[in-house]
Amino acid sequence: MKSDKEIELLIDKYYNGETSLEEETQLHNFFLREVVPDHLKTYQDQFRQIGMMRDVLPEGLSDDKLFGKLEESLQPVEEEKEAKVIVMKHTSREIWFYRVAAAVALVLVGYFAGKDSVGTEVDSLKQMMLTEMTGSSASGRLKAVNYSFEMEVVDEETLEALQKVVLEESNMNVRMKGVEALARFGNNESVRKTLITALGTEKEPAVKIVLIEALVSLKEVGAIENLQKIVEDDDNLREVRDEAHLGMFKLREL
Amino acid sequence: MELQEFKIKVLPVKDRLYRIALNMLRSVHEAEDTLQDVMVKLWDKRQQLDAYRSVEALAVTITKNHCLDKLKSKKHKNQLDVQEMELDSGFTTPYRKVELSDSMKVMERAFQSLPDQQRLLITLRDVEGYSYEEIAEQTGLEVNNIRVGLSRARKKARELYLKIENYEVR
Repeated sequence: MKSDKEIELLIDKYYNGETSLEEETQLHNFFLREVVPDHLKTYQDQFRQIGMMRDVLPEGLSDDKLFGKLEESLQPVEEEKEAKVIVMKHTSREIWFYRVAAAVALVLVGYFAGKDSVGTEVDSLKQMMLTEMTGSSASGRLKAVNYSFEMEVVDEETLEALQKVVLEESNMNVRMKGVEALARFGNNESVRKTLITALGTEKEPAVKIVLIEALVSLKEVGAIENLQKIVEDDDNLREVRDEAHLGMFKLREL
Repeated sequence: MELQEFKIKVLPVKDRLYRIALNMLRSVHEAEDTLQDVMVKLWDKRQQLDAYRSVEALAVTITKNHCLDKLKSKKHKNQLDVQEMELDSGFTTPYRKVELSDSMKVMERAFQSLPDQQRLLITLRDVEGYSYEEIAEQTGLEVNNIRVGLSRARKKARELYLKIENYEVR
């Protein structure tokens, strides 16, 4: 152990920045002693404090926390790289071909499957309607005719069934409804002919009036002959004859 | 260099870097935060690691620069005045693990109130025990200037210490 004299010399060197690391260690060790000469006591705190600073450890800084920001900064970069690789794959021609092919296949499958199922549904409903239209119950037949109003477009089969109702139906309410239903498809030549024929054969005044209204709104000039007959037939109700007269007038004017 | 390899190279320096940051910034929170930033910067410069004599030298340099940058920012412009720091003023010290004597608390504050450059030299030499050559590499200073600066820092710390001690006693 160094003498007090030697320590004093080392202290001077220390404050002049001239001590070696080894000499500095000697000073630190000297001041670790419990008993230090009075005249050196004021130096003790400086070395002891530095000794304490040497012992400080990053206790609150785990390794995970230490590299926290680094890991964070690396994360997005890696994801980006990965994403880029996938994009490259997607832009290759082969993949594009398969993607387009898959899309087309999906659309086709969807189209035909959808068409088929919708068609089947409409078909079965139509069959139900047609069956009902020739059924034994008048209310069932009326319901079937009413159902035809929900159809935007009808096929020949349905039109024929409706024409049959207008000409052959026994219940006047069903016939009346049948006239209204048929009138919606007045563009069809056979429909017009059926309505004109019905006007000639129809006995029920209410149905006659509906037929006159329908033919006038369709501007069917071919109905004038039958209207003339109604007007001239005194057996007809006055209301029907007036309606027929008015219809003839309208059709001639137009 | 893989991340794992990087960590293995850097981890042995962790404690030293932390003490340097803590002595410079005088805040545990800021020291921890700074070290995390230092790891990012060190990773970015990993290509240079082989060129340096040691990972440690580069790591210390980055830490030192980062701390000085932080201290330059307005937040730290107002230097701590040792005269204004009264005993038991609630000035939180990051070092204290055991209850210090009053005179030791004064010494602690004397170190903390040294100018940035002097605090850096005391830390590198007296606390971490680096050679003058190593400090020269870390700071870019001439060895002679390091000796002079260190001498001033040690004397200044003692001077501040005696000033308060005599003031308190009287």
